[in-house]
Amino acid sequence: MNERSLGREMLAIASFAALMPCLALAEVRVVATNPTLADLTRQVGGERVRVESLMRGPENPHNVIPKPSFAMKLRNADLFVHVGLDAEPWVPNLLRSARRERLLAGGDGNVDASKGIKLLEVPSHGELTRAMGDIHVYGNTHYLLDPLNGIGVGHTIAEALSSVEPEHASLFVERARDLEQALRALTEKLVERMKPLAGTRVVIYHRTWPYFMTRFALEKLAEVEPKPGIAPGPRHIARIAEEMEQSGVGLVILATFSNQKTGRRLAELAGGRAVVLAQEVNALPGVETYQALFEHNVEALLAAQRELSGSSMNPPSRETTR
Amino acid sequence: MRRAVFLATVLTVFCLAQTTRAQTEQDSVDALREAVERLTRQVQAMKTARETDRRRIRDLEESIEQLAAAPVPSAPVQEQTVVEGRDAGTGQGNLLNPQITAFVDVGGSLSTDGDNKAHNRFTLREAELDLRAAVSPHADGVLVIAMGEEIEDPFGDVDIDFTFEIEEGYLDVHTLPWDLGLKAGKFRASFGRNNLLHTHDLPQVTRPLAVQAFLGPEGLTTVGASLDWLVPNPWDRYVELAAQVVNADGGSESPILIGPGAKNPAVLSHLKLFQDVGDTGSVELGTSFLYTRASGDLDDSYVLGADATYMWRDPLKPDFRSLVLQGEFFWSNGDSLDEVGGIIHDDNWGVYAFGQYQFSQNWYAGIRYDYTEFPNLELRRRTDSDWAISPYVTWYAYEALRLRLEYQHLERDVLGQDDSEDAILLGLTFYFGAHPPHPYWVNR
Repeated sequence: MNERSLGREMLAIASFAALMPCLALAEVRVVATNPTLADLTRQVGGERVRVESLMRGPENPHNVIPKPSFAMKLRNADLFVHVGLDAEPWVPNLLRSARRERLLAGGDGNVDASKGIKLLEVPSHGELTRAMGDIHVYGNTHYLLDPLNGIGVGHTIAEALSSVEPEHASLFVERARDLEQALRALTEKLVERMKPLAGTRVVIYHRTWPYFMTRFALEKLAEVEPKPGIAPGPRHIARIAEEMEQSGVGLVILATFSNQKTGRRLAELAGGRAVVLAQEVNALPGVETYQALFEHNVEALLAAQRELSGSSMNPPSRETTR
Repeated sequence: MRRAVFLATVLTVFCLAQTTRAQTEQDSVDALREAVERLTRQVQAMKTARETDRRRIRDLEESIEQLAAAPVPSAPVQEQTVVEGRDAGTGQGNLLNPQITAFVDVGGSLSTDGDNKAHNRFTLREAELDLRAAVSPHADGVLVIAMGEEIEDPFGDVDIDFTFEIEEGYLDVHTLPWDLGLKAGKFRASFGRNNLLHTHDLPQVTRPLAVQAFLGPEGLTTVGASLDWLVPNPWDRYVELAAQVVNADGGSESPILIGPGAKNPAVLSHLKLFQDVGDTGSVELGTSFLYTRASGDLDDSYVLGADATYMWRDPLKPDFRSLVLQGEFFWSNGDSLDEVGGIIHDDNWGVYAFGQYQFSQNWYAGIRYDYTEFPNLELRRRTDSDWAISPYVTWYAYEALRLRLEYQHLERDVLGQDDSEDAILLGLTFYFGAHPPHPYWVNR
């Protein structure tokens, strides 16, 4: 008799033990379009969330091929966090193929991170034509590259997580506030760090950087692309190189998806430096969090500027810029 | 007397002084009155201003309350919002119009086959209007209208005709219970991979010969209904099963739906498996089955298909290096009627395979191999089987503008004798209007 009841108890304990991890693992499942939003979600949600990013860091957000496996990830998601606007043209079809009503635009699980963000480069009515290149109709979509915009996004994510798990709402709100404080402190520190570069004019490859530049007081001399999304020809490159030399501008800022060869050739022609910055979390090795992205980019710019000032002691030549 | 004079003087001085004082007092009173009036005016103005401010504050408070009560708009805050027609009393105007994209596909060929009038000329292969919008929260409407140039009888006199066709027009119910999706209307049949592509989406200038022979020159597009099911499985893999019921009387455009002998409806099914390979690679495998019943003494006919696709992008330079390998196999079995009404029962097969490598941001190079027999007697009268090899280069001048140059060497087996043709094919494709839905072209 004892053996039987012992067996029953053992069974009860075993099933409880088996269920324990499941209970502990009951968490909010979030799919984000890119690793930056995934990291912000992780920071706000902490251990209460399981986050996956569809896009990889080095990819161009406008050119992602929506694979059927993305749809599989979405099917099990409570929330779908995306950049919004017209940044990710591959998203609408993907959402339809995932067949989850709550994740569709306007659904409870659809988290548009651009909510409340003040956009730069909003085209005027007359500029809304492909003659202006591959323009974004609502304005520049790279708003996550201003660390202070991460604050609003953090709160948007906290609100969405709270709607899924109202019992943990205060935790999410608190973590979003922590994130806010951390980002304010980081921005203050990095703006101070960038003081020596304040007002410096730079050349950017694509319009990825206006938010970053506005925050850290960099100014734009020119864009390598003659118009957004249009590859530059040799004559355009030569013209920018000349402009750079004339105005003493040496920094060419590239994203990981920019044409590195063209960017470097331009820097070489102008006796300057091409610097690849992380436009996304995980775009470059070691850039694993939203905060690390800004730390990395600021240090990379300062280092490039130091090299530039070092080399400008000698007259710029091809040898010194290689 | 002296006293009188003194008194008079004193009186005069007093009177004068009094008069002067009275004058001064009058002035002061006037000044005071003026000041009081001015102050009264100012107070009045301030009162009015305060009233206006109060009203304004009240209005603002009301607006804030209204805003707080309204749901938070999900649209981004923009610096300017221009809503056309809002004040013109035009109702919703064009704001709920569908997304519209126009595609234009122009071809050209230089061929050693001088007899075929469709060769050695430029052709407006297709101009397509793609319209799509939500019909309801659960369904979208899609309408694709295509116009193209067609040479009536390539071996006779050149007689160019412009065809107008509803290429697709269907309701897409994308969120049904149990992971089901439903399409109803006219749509491209889920047979293999290539058949799903519109002409402007093709990875090469021409459609693979086997697809043309087994499914029709433009592929198989018919009217019916399609149910797609994402099959749940313990491994959480992408497994999709499509079952379609479509019209069989597709006529000569769809050779396997055998025209006069076909009985409605035909049924079609497609099973698709997808698997990621590494960080940036993927494999897709599929099988397809099309079955048509025949009337009278004819046997039913069917086509089996198998397809495989491997795609890869460079993990560090995804926009600059990529690879696509794809192949499809077709096998058919069925009856058809010969010229004198006799019944011919046979089976036929066809295959194509291509590899394409992206070697810079905007340049792609590839090669395709084709072999096909012809399940349709009309086509078979000219040739028993064809094979071809076609290397090609594709250049994207811009995302919406593509140029393609292809060389094709084709060998025909005509009644046991070889007949070959060499051709240089050109393709110019562009689109304008709304950004087309992804995936747009095979890997771009």
